[in-house]
Amino acid sequence: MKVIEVRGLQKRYGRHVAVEDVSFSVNAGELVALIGHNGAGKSTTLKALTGQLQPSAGEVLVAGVNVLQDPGEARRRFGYVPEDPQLYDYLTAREMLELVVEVRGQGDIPATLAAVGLQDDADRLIREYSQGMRRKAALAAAMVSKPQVLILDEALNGLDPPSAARVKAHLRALAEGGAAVLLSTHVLETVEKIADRVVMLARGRVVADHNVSEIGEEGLERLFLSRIGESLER
Amino acid sequence: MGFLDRPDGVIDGVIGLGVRLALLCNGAMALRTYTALVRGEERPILDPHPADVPALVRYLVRRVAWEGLIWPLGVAALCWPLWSAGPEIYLTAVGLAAGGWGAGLLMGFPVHLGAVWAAESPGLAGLFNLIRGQNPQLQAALLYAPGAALALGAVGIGAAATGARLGLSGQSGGWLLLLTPWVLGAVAFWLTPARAERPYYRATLLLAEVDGALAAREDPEEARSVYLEWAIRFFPTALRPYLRQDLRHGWRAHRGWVTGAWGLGLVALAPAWSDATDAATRAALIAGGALALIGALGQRLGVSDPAWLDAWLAPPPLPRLLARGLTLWAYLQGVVIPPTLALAVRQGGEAALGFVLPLEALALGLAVAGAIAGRMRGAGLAPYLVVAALAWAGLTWGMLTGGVS
Repeated sequence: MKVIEVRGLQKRYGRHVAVEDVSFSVNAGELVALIGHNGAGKSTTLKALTGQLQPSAGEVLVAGVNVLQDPGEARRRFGYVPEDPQLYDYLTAREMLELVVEVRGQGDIPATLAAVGLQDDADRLIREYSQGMRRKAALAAAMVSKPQVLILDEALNGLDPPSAARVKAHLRALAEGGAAVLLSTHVLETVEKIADRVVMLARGRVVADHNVSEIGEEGLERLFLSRIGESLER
Repeated sequence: MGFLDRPDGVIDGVIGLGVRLALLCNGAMALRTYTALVRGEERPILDPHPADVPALVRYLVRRVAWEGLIWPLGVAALCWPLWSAGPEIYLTAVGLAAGGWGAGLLMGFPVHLGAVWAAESPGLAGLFNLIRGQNPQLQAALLYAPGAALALGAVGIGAAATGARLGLSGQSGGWLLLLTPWVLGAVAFWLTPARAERPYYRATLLLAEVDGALAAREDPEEARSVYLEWAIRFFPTALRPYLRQDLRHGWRAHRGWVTGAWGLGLVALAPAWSDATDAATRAALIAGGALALIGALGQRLGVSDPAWLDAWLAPPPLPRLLARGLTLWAYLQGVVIPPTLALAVRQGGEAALGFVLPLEALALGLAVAGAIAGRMRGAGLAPYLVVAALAWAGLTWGMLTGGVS
């Protein structure tokens, strides 16, 4: 069942085209990686998906809800970690999660803190956190209520290796539990380890959409370089 | 408050004062509500989540009210001299101002949320395109929203003023009309939370579009250009590198002070734009205070100078000090020029000359004091403020006693 649907998405800023005719979908229980070079349009696509950006054309549906027409309902169905997550600096991570659980109506705070490796620092103020810890707190806020859809924009950047491994395992478990996870990254190793499918963007267009199992370990890098390199050389 | 000396003018005077203060409070709260609701710190934090928007709006009203309490309290303190004319006179002015404050607070939220709808309304696109100036079309509705809130508030303030006039004339029923801004605001706000969710979320999209449009038209050349840098060519070669460095430092790191000088110059222009014999004195008092204030930029520049780089490169102290003083003096011209021109137009060249000479002497002295204070870095502020206060007091004394001008 398609839980995320992007159809003919276009975003223009004056003459500059950020994304053009982007279409893909993510099924329930699937973990899809959105990859591309810097400036390929990954964040623009995710912002349009989460109602942070008005598409110039096209349509985005999250769990059957049009994000633009019903922004509140759509937000109830997805968890989102933006590229530069903002948090209440004067709350602790536990208090931040309590707020999110209050707003979303459910959530397992201790399990989520453990999943991101913040259990020992959960009662410190977020303003004392390092960049990586802030990202863990944002991830926890997005995951705590186990949303139907999880959208993560470079959310694993800056995480220490043990935490990154823990988060990847948790994301995999969420997907196996039926959630649709869309993760933008440029770390191919992450894609190979946890993603079911990869959607490649280059210059704002989808240049590849493949199951990871069909590509193979060496193939992903080669595919990335050939498809994206080709596109950049044009 | 000169109307207190004219018994037949007290009612007109207090109502005129109260209406002005009410409009001021109304405008201030209309802007504060915009900042809290549209550009507030909550938006990027809560945006990924399904925030309970009605509850958020109710919370923001309480927060903005608390943070904006300074306005009615300030008015209550400012109007205290009216108490001598009777409690009802004092309470009329304060009551009118409080009404304006309440209307701005309560109407600001629905108006700003309505502005989001208006910005996206195809039917209004033509109108906003006409009045948007150089701004992106989607921003026009947001820009004019505080004005709309002020206009709506003015309706209530007008009714309250009519009521106050009736009340002060002995018709006690008129006092009830003082509640009009509150009632209008309460009705407008009562309708708001339930309708707030969609426009609240849509505002994020709108802001992204506006910011994107502004970023797309940003001119890198303009970002690099520096206020007054063109004037460097008129100075000796040995001084130019230091002047360039100071002008760039001042403009890029402390632009608010530089534009603030012109803002304060415009404040001083108001009393100067008059045929009254004491116009120059009044303008000089304001301009002198403004010069003392802006001159403190010298110390701020000193604090933000790259200390280690200066110690390492060891630039010659005299050209460096001279350049800093010249830069400060040039910035201070923003304070001096507007009232001087106003006096020249209204009272002729001689009056303007009598005004500008002492003021330029003060500007020069403060520029030197500021530059020296900058050399003292953190320790320079207190001595500068003492010197500046003394210099301003000296100018004031001179102007009031006729010793200067």
